Amino acid sequence: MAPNDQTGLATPPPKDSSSNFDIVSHYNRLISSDPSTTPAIAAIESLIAILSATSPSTITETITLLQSASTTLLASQSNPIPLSAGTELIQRYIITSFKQQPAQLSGHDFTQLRRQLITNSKLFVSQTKSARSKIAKHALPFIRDDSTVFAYGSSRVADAILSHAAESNRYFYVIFITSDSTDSNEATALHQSTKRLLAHGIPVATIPFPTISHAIASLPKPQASNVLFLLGAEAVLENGAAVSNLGSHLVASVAKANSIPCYFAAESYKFTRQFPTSFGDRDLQRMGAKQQVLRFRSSMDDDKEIEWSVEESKGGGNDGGVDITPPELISGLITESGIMTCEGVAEELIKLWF
Amino acid sequence: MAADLLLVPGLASFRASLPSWPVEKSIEHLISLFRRRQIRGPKPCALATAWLLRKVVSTTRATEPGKLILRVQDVGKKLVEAAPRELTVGNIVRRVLGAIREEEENREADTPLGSEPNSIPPTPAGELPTSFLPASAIAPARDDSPLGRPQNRPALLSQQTGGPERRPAVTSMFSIMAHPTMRGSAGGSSPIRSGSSTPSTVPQPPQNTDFRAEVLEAITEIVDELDQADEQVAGYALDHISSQETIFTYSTSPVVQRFLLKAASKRKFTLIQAESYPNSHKATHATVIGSKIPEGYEDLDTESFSKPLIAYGITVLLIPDSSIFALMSRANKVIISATGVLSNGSIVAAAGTKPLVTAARFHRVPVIVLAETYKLSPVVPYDPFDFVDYGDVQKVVPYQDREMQLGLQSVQNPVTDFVESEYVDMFVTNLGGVATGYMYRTIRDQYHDEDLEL
Amino acid sequence: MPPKQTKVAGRTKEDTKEDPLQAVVVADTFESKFAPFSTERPRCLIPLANAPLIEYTLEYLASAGVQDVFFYAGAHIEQVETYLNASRWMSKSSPLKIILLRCMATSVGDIMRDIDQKRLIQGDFICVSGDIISDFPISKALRVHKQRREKDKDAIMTILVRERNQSDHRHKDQIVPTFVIDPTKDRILHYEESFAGTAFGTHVDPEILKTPELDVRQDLVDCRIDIGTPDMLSLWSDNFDNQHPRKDFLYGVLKDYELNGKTIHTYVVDEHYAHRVDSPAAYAAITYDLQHGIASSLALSNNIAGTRFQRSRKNILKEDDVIIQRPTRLDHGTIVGSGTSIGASTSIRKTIVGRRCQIGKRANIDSAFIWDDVTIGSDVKISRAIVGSETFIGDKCVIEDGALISFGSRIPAGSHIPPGERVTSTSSFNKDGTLAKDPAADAFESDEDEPTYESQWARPFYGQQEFAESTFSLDSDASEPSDEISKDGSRSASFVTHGSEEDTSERFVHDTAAILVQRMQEDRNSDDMQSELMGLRFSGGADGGQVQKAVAIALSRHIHSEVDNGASADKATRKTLEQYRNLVRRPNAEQTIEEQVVFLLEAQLDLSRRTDGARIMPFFVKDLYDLEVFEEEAFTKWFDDERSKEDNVAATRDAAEPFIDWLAATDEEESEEEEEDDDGEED
Repeated sequence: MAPNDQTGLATPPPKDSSSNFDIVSHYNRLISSDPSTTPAIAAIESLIAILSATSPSTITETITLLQSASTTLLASQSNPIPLSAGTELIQRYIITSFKQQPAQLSGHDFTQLRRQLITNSKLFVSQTKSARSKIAKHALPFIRDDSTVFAYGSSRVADAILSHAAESNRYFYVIFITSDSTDSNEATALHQSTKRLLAHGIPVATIPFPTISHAIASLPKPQASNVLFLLGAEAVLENGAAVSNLGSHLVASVAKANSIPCYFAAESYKFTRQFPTSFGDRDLQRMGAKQQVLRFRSSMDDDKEIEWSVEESKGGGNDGGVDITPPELISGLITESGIMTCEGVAEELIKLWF
Repeated sequence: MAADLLLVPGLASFRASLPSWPVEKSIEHLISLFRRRQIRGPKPCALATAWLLRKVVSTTRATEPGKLILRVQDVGKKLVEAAPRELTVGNIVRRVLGAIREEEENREADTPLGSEPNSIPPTPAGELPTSFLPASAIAPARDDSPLGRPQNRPALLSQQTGGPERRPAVTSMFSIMAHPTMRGSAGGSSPIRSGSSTPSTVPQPPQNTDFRAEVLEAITEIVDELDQADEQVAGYALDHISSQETIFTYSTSPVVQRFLLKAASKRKFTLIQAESYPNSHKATHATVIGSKIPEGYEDLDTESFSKPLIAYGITVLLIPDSSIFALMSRANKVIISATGVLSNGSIVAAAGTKPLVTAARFHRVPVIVLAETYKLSPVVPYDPFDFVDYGDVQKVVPYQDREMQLGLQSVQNPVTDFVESEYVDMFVTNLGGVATGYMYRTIRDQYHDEDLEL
Repeated sequence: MPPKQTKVAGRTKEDTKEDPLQAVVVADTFESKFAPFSTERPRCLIPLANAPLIEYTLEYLASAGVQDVFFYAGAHIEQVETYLNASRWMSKSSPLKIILLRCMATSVGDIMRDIDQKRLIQGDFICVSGDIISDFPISKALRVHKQRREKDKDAIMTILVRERNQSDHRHKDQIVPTFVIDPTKDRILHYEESFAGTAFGTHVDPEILKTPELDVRQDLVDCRIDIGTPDMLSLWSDNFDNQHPRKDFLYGVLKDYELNGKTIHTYVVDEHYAHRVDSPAAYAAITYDLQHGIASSLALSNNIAGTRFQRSRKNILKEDDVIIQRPTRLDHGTIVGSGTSIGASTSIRKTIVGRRCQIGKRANIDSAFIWDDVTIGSDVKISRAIVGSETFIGDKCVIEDGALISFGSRIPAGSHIPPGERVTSTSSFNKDGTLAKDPAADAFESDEDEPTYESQWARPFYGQQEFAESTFSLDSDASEPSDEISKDGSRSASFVTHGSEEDTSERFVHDTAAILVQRMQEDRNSDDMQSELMGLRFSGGADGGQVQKAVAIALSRHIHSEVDNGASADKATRKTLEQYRNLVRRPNAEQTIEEQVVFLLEAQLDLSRRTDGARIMPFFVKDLYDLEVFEEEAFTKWFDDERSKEDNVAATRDAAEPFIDWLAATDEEESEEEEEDDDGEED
């Protein structure tokens, strides 16, 4: 989590080469300075920063610059999937702008375009936050009086939804499922959301991961008919699968097994054009995530260090590992533009790309 | 008898009273009829709503489409509140709003550019100049509004952009950020809409003399569509029913009956029909034997009752509901109708449908749901309970048997079931077959995004 | 009271289907079952599930396609008219054209005559009382009615009835109408009213029995939805004695069929809901019916009566702007009106809470009806009570089953309202939180051992029975058109005479005695009366002692009135006791000597109040002895009893002294054999 390198970022000098701009450290600084920033947004901001820090003079040059910067940035992360949604989005946008504006490009210089983009960047960030509150609004009808919400993983969106519902005078029960992650950030976030909900008089329970099924079975009768699972997604893949905290897949499976609806909340900029073929390590690795949960050992390897647990993350924005929840376990996606089905994701991406 | 019909408040009397009554009284009247359930069922509710809105539009003195939209929204909200579980009411209100919005766009598109005809792949003309600089100025104000999309997608761009203002420049950061809203292809719907009801196919009048006339025409088209919907759906019957198949159906509805009749005219198949006790078994029996319409089902169309399937040489097995599971294994397909289809493809259908489709799933029998387009609702099923309607308890426990009613604490008689989309394999609408996963898109195409929530 | 009949010719000719459908609403039914609430507010404005009753009735008329409504408000006319004028029914978009009418009316008959006089009715019309809740589509009945009229101009009226449910508790204590119907024509041939639990004897015209097919039905409930005609109105006008639409009018018209040739028909409603909110018990039952959506078109969640309920899974209906502090327990069947706030840790079950109420913390409310603008403090316990509007209930109050808290009452903190208590705004409280004796409230007070809600609710009914019985004789209905429960003269008198502690039993005794006396005057036989008595005892929840007391009083009164009418004391006594001895003691019935003594004491007490009491007493005891009703031991014990020697009654005891002396003289020889025989073969 801690930024590895912060040098040379305070005042990016206008140079005509990208090599001097350390996009990775810029990104890390953004992530660490504002806890509410999501990886995708930070990635977009970083790319915009590199645009303002350098001055490419042609379209091709700009695109190449962005591409190489993105690659660098993604390569630096243990889990680049959330970021890739942002980097793809901004590149796509810029390419589209260029395609549309050939006439203007000839008449205007690049500096103006850059300035324009930088201005919009701020707007972009503020809109991001409003996206979150819009999601909270869309999700409100799910959280009815006396309903019970199981929440898993530290998700800013899920947290916003619960807070908004509490502020709207809904009375509901929240059950936080904690993973056995040692991450202190997650614990702090959980602690804070618990405090916030309790302040609104919302009863909160915290249960360890292995007790989910038992907790569902233990729900008092009037509550049992009115339960849902609410998770946040870090990224949403093309088939509607959600990339989220490790364990989400299992949580969603439990929900499905109990016929309890399971919703994932995600801003739509988290949609990424990756298509999973399965839901394990190999797929994550193909998407660039350096994560290996499953490692067999044999007697031959006795002398080597054996790890069954998640590999430590290396300086990225993602602490624990992630997994992919297949779309058939997802009842719906809560986005700022409404409740979507998983099938709808592909179409949204197609709209962006073609 | 005709006088009698007018005497009993209901769809017929409502229609008869419309021309002579003041509009406010008609609105109140329809609200009362909805509340008392003197008009119920998808089609009657849709018709009554359309008729009333036609009157509302024609009596509202609005020079601005915006005002008319507000007025229709206002009336629409009241109607939806009065019949919260009749999804078609909201659907028709949204359709009418959509028609007004289209007129509004046509006006706006014309205003800055004179009378340039709105040709088919138009990149709205005003866009290019604004695309660069003013984008950031426009964007913040446009929260939920339609978003721009890449300009190189003429197929999805059409004249129906639907926004109250001009679309923002695509180059706005915000529009990219928010790119995946479903707004994008609303315009793309026109080619696949059921047809005439989409005013976009109507040539743009050179001057916007009276946009209300256009809207009224659009409403008339909606009404026509309501009347033809069954027939249009039935038109796809031969695609879905093959010879020698065994079809399983449940309860009775005009659309299923027409669908089967259409297939029966060409093919021989076997029908297993479950009676759906206690709410519509009488109607089901009447359908099977072709007797006259039983009391309480006057809304069903007479034709479907007059020609029973057996007259076409179709073997029809009428079975009690208890035999559904046992006989399901023999079926090749389940064909049922829905009273409503929700945004994610979940359906609301006659009570007992859930057990039916569960049995179908157990036996791996595909389920086909017939749904006319006016039944497609953009409502999100936040709580399935919201869609379950209850009927008279007396049908379950006779009123005279009060002891039993009291003994059972509260007897209830749900008349509708909520069925999740995963149980449905395919829909057949006016537009043809729609895969369940694509239903959300078909539904979105029916309405303007501004109207998703009334 | 049969109406003299004159044929009204020609008017029916104008009956055409094009006429607007008209209805007459008689909002005041001149009954008194909703005291004390109905003394302050008109009954039709009593809220049922947060909407005034009249809303449901008007909604029903609108749903039936009625266009013109003639509305008679009756009691509290100002309140009713104010309400209606402000309601949606008077607005431009109202489906009904409501015409408010006023007249000096003391009965339904007066209203009928008034409307006839005003010539407002053109054709067939619907006549309902202001408390109907129904979803029955009247058009079918109307069609049948009109078809019949086309064939037979004399079919002047159709009465809607529905079949009763066997276990329908809400009708247990009410009048049971008996219809004698010709099923081929649905024509009513004879009509009579009796009470549940009594043996039915009727005097049917032998002519009627010649009808080939006859249904005698007691299982029909009168919905009080009538389809009438102008002819019917003129029949009302023909006889000013007709007060009650059934007991007088229907009965009379049928009886005079030979004279006027008019026929009245029934239409049996099946599969639909049709009820009257004619008593608190019906009020409760109908509220729950509507809440459960027994009839889907009337379900409360449809909001037909202008409410804004949102349903939820647990069958809890809430309007908007409800503030509920958590944790709170709202259980199945609770309704909460808008603007109400409920404090934390409160538990509410099967309760209707009105609008703008404030309920404190830790309150426990079960099966109660709380109307609008009620303030309830913390730690209050309420069960099965009705709490009227604008009531204030202080902290830690306990309100028990069947209590009725009328409008604007203020109950100080820590009060305890015992079961069945009635509290009004004028009630005052002692410092220890008990209700101070209030003369007005006393009248309604009940004793502690009212066992159940039902019997509490039922209690007004036996008053009702007496009312119905005594009264459809004319004088009593000539009371004020208000719903005063004390309108019946004799009953109010009884409240004055008796002490408050035993009011309930006193009232039972008094009312029962009154009925018995009337029966005796009608010269009924004792078996009929015996079964009627059982019915009364059952419905009043009385014990055997009270029944005996009532019989004693009735007998003494009857004998006394016979004497007053000129009969000699000995003959009157002998005749009465011979006829009604079975009421005192059924043949071979077990009866303790003590009971017999008490009986004698009661008779003595009553006779002492009569002018000729002392004259009658000797014959009374002697005849009881001669007829072998009581053992002689009873007489001697009575004579020796201290209570019989008290000053106010001593005179009658002394009068009986010769008999006792004679008894003592004969006793010496026979006592041993007698005693053994007495037990065995008293007959």
